[in-house]
Amino acid sequence: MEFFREEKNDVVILTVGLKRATLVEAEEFKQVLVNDIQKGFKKIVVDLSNCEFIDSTFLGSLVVSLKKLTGLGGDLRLVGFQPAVHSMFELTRMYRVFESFKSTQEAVQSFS
Amino acid sequence: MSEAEKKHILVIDDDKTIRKLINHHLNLNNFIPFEAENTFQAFEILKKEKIDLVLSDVTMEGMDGFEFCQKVRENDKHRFLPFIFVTAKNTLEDKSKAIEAGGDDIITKPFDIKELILKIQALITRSDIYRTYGLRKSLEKSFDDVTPKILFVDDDASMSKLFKYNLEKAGYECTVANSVDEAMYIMKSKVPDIIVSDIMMPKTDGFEFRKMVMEVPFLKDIPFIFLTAKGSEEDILDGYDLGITDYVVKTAGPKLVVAKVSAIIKSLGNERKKVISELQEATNSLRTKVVPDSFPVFDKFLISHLHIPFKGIPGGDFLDYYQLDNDNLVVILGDVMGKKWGAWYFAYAYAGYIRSALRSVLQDAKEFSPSQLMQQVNLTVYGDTKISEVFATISILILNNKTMELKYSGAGDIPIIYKNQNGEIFRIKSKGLLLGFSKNGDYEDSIIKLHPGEEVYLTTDGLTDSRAKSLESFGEHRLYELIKNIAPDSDPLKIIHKSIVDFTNGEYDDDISLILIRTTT
Repeated sequence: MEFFREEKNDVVILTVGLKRATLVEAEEFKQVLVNDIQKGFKKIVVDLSNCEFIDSTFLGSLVVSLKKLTGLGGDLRLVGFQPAVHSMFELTRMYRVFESFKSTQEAVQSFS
Repeated sequence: MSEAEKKHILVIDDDKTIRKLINHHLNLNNFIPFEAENTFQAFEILKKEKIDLVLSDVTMEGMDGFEFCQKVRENDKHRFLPFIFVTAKNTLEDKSKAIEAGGDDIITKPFDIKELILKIQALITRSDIYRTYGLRKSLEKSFDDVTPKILFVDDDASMSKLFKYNLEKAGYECTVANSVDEAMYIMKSKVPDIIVSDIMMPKTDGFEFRKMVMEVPFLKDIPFIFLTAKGSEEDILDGYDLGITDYVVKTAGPKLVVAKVSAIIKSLGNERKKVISELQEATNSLRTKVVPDSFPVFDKFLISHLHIPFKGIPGGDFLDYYQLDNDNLVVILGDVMGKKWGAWYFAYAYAGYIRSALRSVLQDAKEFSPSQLMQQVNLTVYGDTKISEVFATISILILNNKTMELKYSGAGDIPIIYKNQNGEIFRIKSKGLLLGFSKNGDYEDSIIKLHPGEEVYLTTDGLTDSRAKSLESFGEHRLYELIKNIAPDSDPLKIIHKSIVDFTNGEYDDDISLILIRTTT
């Protein structure tokens, strides 16, 4: 399993266990997120600290979920940008719509 | 546009003023309107005329708009007829009712006439695409690049467990049924890509199972593999008589089953390719082009591009040139994100869709501002509920050959590269958000005053993300170095193309697109 899931109260924490998160895994990851959203979770934290690179398709799965969640009054927050991932978010201006944190703990706390 | 090419729009509203207003604008935009003041008249018109799109009020005496839409949809002929509700109510409940009733979109009064026309144009283009592609659902089913699903039928639980483990390890989704009854039950809700079944089972055996499957139209063509303990010739021959795809002797072990399953999945993939090429032909005939055939001719500028579709299949990148007037030319480069997930080939259709939405904005452009064009297209894409999961990055430039100004606005795009007269390289970043993400994308114009002999490059992430065998990305820095060192009298596109081919060994992960704008000396 490339994605590890944890719940803390009403917050879901998903850790992406991939060095390169790309279109190969994007659809599966999107499904994981969609499942949680359908179950009614509105607060999701995605931990990307293992990822050295993410491509635009994988980013797309995060963006779709963020759009869904904000429509429902929820949010998706991110943790652990490595340099290449950071520049990807910067390049696509997506750092402006995702809130990011240094640790999952901080991200979880930001919801309360 | 000839009369025959014009699209017919049915307008239903009990308010005469609104009908007149809408009709007036439809006429102005080359549509032919048909008026109905109630649903009774509307049904009459639908019966007699060939209607391409319906604009319907919601609150009306007698039958309301939602009920009307449902009734219209009951007729097979009108099942996919584009249907827009025009309503004064803007509640979420109404929106969901509209979608439930089978509406494609909803516009709230008081509406912006431009927005209405844009929605009509976009919806008609999309329905043209679907008409050519056939039924959207069935296409998605056959094209979804999802994990292949295997149904494994065996009464021996330990055997099932062993095969399930091996099939799943090989990347397939495996559902186990321990009887034919259970298998038939499972297939009611979940249609597998391949069925693997034991022959010897109590109650109903494998041969009977095969016969049952053959009688169900949507199951009969699913590849079917017999798993037999005996491997006697008779068994195998009986199986082939029933049109099975293959058989495996149980003792040969799970590895062989996995290998056969993989081979079948692969051959299904080849079938898919065939359909894709048919799709391409269909799309070509629709003129839903994503890349122009030629470079534009524009005084004082030399414009050219490089476009290599991913594996020869047109994907998410799109290019366009559009001359606004004598002095202004628009240059567009975009990339639909999420190519290859879900129905990736739809990226092509969406690229075509966004390109045509842009075209319709360009046709009425009054102010020559890329950010304003961007925002208008953004609204169309954002408001279209059917494509709410599609985002695109776009760069829009407007070149003026009198002032030699370049205006640039971008949505989530790769910064454009500007090489000035002194050979210095500048990376010009835009600020806008991905197209379709938020209602207001915060688009801005940057202006560069160009001089003779300068160059501007636009690209998408297919180029910068393309990788060498060592997994290293080509990256922006490599592109900058390359551009910096290109001699003034050489062909930069050729040089860059060669460099990417050398770097990646000719194996790309995505579409590669690059536009070069040079000012003449």
